[in-house]
Amino acid sequence: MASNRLDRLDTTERAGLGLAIAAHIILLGLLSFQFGPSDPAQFSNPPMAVDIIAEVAPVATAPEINAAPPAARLGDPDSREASPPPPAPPVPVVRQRPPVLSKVEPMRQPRPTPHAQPQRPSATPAVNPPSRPARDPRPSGALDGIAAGVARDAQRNARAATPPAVQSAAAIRADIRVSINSEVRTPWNACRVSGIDVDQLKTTIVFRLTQSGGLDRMVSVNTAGVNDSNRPQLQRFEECARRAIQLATPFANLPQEHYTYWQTYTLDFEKR
Amino acid sequence: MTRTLLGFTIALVAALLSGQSTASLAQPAPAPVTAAQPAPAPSTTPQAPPRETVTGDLVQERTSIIVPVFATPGSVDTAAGTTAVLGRQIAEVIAADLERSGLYAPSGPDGVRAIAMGEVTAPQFAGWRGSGAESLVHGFVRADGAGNLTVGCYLYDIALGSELSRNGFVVQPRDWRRAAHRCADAIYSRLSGEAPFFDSRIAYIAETGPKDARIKRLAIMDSDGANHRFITNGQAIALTPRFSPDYSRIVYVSYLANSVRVYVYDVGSGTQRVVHESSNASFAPRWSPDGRFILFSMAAAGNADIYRIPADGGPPRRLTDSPGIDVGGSYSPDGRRIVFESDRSGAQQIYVMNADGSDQQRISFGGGRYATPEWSPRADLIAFTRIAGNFRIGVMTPSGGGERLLTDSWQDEAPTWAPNGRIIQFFRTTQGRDGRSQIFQVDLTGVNLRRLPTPVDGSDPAWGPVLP
Repeated sequence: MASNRLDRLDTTERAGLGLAIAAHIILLGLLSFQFGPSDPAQFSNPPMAVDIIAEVAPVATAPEINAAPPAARLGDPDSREASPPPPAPPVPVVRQRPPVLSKVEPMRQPRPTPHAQPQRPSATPAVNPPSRPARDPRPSGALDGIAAGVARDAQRNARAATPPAVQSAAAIRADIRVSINSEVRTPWNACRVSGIDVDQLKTTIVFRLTQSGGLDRMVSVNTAGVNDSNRPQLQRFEECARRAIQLATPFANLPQEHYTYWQTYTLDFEKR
Repeated sequence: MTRTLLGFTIALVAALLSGQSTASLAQPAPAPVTAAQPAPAPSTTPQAPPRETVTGDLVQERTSIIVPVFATPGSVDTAAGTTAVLGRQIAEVIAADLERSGLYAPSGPDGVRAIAMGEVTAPQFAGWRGSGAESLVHGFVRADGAGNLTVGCYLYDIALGSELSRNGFVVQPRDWRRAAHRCADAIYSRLSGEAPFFDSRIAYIAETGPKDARIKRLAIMDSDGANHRFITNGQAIALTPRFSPDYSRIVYVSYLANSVRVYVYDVGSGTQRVVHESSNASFAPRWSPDGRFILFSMAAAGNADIYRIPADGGPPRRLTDSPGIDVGGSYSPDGRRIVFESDRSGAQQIYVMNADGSDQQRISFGGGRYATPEWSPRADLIAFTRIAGNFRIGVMTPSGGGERLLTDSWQDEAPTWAPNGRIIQFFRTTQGRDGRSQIFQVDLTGVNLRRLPTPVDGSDPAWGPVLP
C-alpha cells in the first residue's frame, strides 16, 4: 500500500519528500544544541507539596463539559435608548399624612386615596421612558427569540450562561430579590384578608422606585383569580398589597449602580 | 531562531498531506462552540425586568385593633346615662363585636389610654405605634339639644397613619347599642370587605327543663345577645322561628295538645295570629323574600309535602307531590327557586325546584343524609346539615358543587345565615341525658367558631337581616 503510493509520486514530490526528511534530520540536529543564552529553569509558581489522600475524591471536581448551547444574549445587546435620563438626585422619602380635618363632622368627606395623593415630583419627569420601552423596530441583529428555541430548559440554560458578566447579574438579581421580598413580606403578612377563595387572588403591582429606594409611584395594580365568592375581598386584598409596598419602602441596600434595573419593579402578591 | 525552524518544519509536514486536507485547512476553521463566548457585557446590570412573587400566610394572627373609650366634648346627662359613660359602653360593645367575629383581637377600652376630643380626628399615631396594633378606632359621643345622640366612628391604619373610614350615627339615647353595632359594622366591612351584620337580631327557641319535659319558648335578642326578650310563655311548644324580611313579623310553629299551628307574631304590636292550623304535623315555615308568602311542610298519611300559603293566611297550595317526604323549603334570595330536602331517592337528599314547584332536581349526592337546607342571602351557597354518623354543618353551591363541612361535633344542626352570608348560626347538642343545646356560629372558613351566649339553652336560631 505504502509502496504503491510512493510509486505514484512524481519527481517534484519525491524531491519534496527528500527535502522534508533532510530538513527533519537537520532540525533534530539543531534541536540537540542550545543557541542563545541559557536561562536556568524557573517556575512561575513555587512548587507545592501535594498529598495524595485518596485515589478518588468524594466529589468530582473536574469541570463538566457543557453541551448546552450558550445563552442567546449575554449582555446589553445594543443600547439604542438615547442617553438614559440623567438620574435625579435622590428624592427624600416623606410618608404622607392624611390631611387633618379640623371639623368633627360625622359626614363622609372625600378622603385622599393612594391614587389621588398629590404626586411627589417624579424623579425623572417628562423625560421618563415608559416603564417598558417599546421594542425598537429597527433590526438589532440581536436574534431575538433565539433563546426560546435553544433554551427550553431554563435551568440548563442558566447553568450554561456562566460568563462572568451574567453570573454577577444573577447575583445582583438575587440580592435585590432578597432585599425587597423580605421587607415586603412582613407588612403583607400583617394585613389580614379572610374569606373563601382568597387564596386564588393574585395582585400584581408594577411600581417605580426613586434612586434612594423610596417609592416613586405605583404604575399599575391588577388582580387575577377573582370570582363571585372572593370579589368582596378584592379591594382589601389590593389595599394590603399596596400598603405592604408603602410600608416596606424605602428599600435599603439596593445597589445604586444598578438603579436602571430596579427602578421599575413588579411584585406578585398572594396568600397561600 | 528555534521558532523559525519549528514553523518551517510544520509547513513542510503540512505540504505532505493530501490535497483535500490542504483545502480544508485553507478554509478558516469554524470556531468551536465553546470558544464562542462573547466578551463580557459592558454593564453587569441584569436585563430581564425584575419580577417576583411575595407569598404571605393565609392563616394569620387576628388583626389587633385598639378601641379606646369614645371621647365626649363634655359629659351630658341623657336618657341612657351620661355621654361619658356611654362613650365607654359604646367602645365596649364595638370591641366585643369585633372579638366575636373571630377576625380581630381588640384591645380596650379597659387598659387603653383614653383620648381627648381633639384626637378623634387627629390621632397621635406615633404613640399608638408602640403597641404593635394594626388599626385604631376613635370616636366620640355628643348629645344635642333635641335629646339625640351623635356617635362618630373613625378607623385608622396606625402604620400608614391614614384614615380608613369615618361614619356618624344619630340615634335616640335608648338605641345607643345600635350605634355601636353600626360602628362595628363599618369597621368590619372596611377591614374584611364583607357586608355588615352586627346590627341585626336573632330569634331562637329558648329551652328549659328536663329533656323529656322540655319547655320551648320563642325568644329574640340582638346579634350579640343583648336586649333578650321572651315572646311566648312556654305553654305551647314553639319551633323553627323565622324573621320576616322587614323584621316586623316572626313566623313559627306551635304545638299544643294535638293541634299544630303556624303563627305569625307581630313584633311591633306583640300580637300574633294563626295562618294555618291542622292536626297534621307541620314544620319549617320560611318567608318568601318579598314577605308575601310562607312556605311550610305538612305531613299526611306518611307523605309530607311542601306548601305555600299567603302570609296573611288563606288556602295552602301544594308545590311537591312525590310519594316521599318533601320538607324544609327555603327560597333563593331572588324568590325564583326553592331548595328543599326529599327522601324520594331512599335517603334524605337536597333538591332545588322553581318557585312554582316545577323542574325539581337533586343537587346532593354524597353519602349519608342531607337535611335543613337554607339558601344564603348572597345566593352563592346553600347551607345544610349533613348526617353521616354525627350531624355536621356544611355548605355547597346551588348546583351541588364545592361541598365543604364547617363543623365537626356530635350534633350540629339547623343552619341559619348571617345577613351578609358569611357566617352561619346553628345549634349544637351535646351527648347524653344531660346534653345541652346551645347556639353557635361559624364563619365560612370553618375556623372561627363561637358560642353565642344565651340566658338559657337555645335551639333553632334564625338570623334576621340587617336592621333597617
